[in-house]
Amino acid sequence: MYASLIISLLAAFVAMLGKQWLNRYLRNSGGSMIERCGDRQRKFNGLKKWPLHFFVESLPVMLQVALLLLACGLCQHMWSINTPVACTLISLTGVGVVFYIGIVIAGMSSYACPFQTPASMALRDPWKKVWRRIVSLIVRSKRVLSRTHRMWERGVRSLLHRQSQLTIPLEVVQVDRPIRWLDPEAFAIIRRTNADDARCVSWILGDITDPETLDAALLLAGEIQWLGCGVDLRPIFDLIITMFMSCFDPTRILYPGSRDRAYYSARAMLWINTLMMFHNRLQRIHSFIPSGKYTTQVPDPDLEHLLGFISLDWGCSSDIKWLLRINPGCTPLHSQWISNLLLHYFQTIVIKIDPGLVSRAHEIKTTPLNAKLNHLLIWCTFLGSPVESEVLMIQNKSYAISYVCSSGGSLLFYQWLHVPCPM
Amino acid sequence: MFHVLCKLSNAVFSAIDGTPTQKAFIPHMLRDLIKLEYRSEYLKEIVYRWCSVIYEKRERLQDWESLLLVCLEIGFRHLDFRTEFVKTWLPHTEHHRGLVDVVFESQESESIADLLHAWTVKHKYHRPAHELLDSCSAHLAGLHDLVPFSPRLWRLVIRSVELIGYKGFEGLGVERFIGLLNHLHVTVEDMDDKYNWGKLLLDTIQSSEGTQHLSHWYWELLVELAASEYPLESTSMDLLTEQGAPPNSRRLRIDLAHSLQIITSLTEAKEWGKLECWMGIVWMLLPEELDPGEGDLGHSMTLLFRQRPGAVQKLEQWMERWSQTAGKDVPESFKQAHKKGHEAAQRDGP
Repeated sequence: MYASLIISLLAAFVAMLGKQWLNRYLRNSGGSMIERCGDRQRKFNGLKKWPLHFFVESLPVMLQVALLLLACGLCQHMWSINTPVACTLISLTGVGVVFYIGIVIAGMSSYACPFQTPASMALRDPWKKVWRRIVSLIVRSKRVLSRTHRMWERGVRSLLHRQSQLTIPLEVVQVDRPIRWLDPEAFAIIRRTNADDARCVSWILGDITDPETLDAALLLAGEIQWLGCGVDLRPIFDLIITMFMSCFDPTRILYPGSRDRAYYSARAMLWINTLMMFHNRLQRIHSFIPSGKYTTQVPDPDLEHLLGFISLDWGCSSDIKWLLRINPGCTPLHSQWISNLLLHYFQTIVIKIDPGLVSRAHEIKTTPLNAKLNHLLIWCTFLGSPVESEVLMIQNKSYAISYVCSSGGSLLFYQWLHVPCPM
Repeated sequence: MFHVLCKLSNAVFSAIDGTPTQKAFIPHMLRDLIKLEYRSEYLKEIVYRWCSVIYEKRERLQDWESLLLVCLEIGFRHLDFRTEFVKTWLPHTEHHRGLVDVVFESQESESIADLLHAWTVKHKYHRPAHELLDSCSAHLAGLHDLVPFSPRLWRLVIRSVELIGYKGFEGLGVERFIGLLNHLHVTVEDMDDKYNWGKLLLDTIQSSEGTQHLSHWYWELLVELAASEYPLESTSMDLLTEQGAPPNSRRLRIDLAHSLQIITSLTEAKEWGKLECWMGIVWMLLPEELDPGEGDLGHSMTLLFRQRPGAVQKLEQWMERWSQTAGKDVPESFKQAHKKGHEAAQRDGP
């Protein structure tokens, strides 16, 4: 109990000192803006060099230790005076300890958990190492088992193949089985992250005025799967239109320095419009965009491609053909984004277009692999096999590639075919 | 790529049974795939499966022949024709046999090369498609008269002939096969498995047409193979190419009685160049336990040396080379026959 008392007093003493140190840090030394910035930076460097955070963070730890010591001392003292009261105290202390251990474990298991304590932060890294080791042990044992299984099958196959080569039944060749694109856990993570992004962008577009933050939010707004996230799209769409319009003068010529804002807001408008089409089946909301020809002062293939599309009489069949006509000068990132937009577009409506247009979009040398994969998926739609919603969630299809590579693509392939893997 | 290709494969399977509009997209999609720069290993296997299905359901598709040719182009045109091995295993089915007529009747040299590539590639645990290749032999035998050979097609025809072997062509008329061989003008560097080639050339020579029509080039090539002990080279596919035979038994052997018949026919035809080569081949490939003695063989040597004095030195050099590479002594019977033949030739003159 006495130790608890001393520790409490010590915590109060350190808190007072900390308050004093922080007051000194916040004190304004006067002078010009540059001098004040320099002074603030010097103090900030001092804070980082000397472990002030250690003293500040030790305060709750000291109070926690003091509380534990007090509870233990009180329990022991009461045990000799009144046993029933002591029992009550011990059980209440136990509940408190269990609660504390619980929040330490919760904080340790997830960085996003709000119940962070110094103990959970200190234990997080060792716990992660232990957990990785457990997972690797499980994976390794699985691999050993599958390798043994493959060796067994290889022996059987080589025997069978000596007898005859034409042993593949046609039903195996024609196999048409569902594909699991992503691990359910990975898909859940993507969905969760997407929902978080949607809410975050919605908040930034509505409440933040910092230009850089707004541009970053606009960039993301053109990639998020907005639907099903519980966000009202109408006000967001209106805000984006306003931002897009503010980039142009009354004659619809781009203001200098507004390129990024115009490009990303145009992307976001088209993206949301396509998603709405996808959701409502042809109920477009793009009629709210003021029509007219938008132009740039300097050549910019990416932006011109989007502006050309916006300038079109939306709703006619020529708009999709315009999107397919990617200029060879467009950047790979733009090509990829457009291919993703087209993939969504073709999920919604089957337009009678010349298939050669899709091929030509594919031919461009700068087209990145991701865009080519999207084109292949567009072909799937044309062939009567719409793309699964989980695939549409994946902006970057190479994610799926790396996932397969890391988990043994060839084995998965043979599992998909329902034939034993010959390797 | 893998997932997308699987998805595409499923889409093609369903489109073949789908509406006319969906079917109409198949050729466009296939032509688009030709332009794909990065082609996954799986694409090869997937398009090979499409070939089987397209052939099976050909009645439902318009212009199915060209679809098959495009599929083969997607899967195999971009591959390096010098590589023998592939990572993915191609599932051969009975329907793939239908490709033979379609591809060879198209008379497009690169499409023919695509098909031969598909059927000659080896997988770590699988042999090439011997059964399917055999069905090509009729078309291959007269191919050089119909189609100009590109380097790729030329190399793949050589590989196909090596895998089919003499027996695959025997029933079609050996003359046509010899015509193809003479056109191919194969060298040691072009052979993937020297044992198979040695066996093929021996079988061809031992046929009556082969003795007459096979160009002198191949007789010399066979001497080269025998003297250099190439056939005993061990390859990783030994167990797969020679069914059930362990690598040690991969040795060329000839029959003495048959050899003497060939010597007689060559002597009658006054083919001294070929006789010179055959004499060398006989001495190098005859089983050790057989002693040819000095009888007919010695007499023929004398006749050869008399007609072709340069053969004395050539035979001696070949046997020396063979002795070094095979790690064996030159047979005493050869030394005696050679010495006697040489002396007789010097004494009698040409």
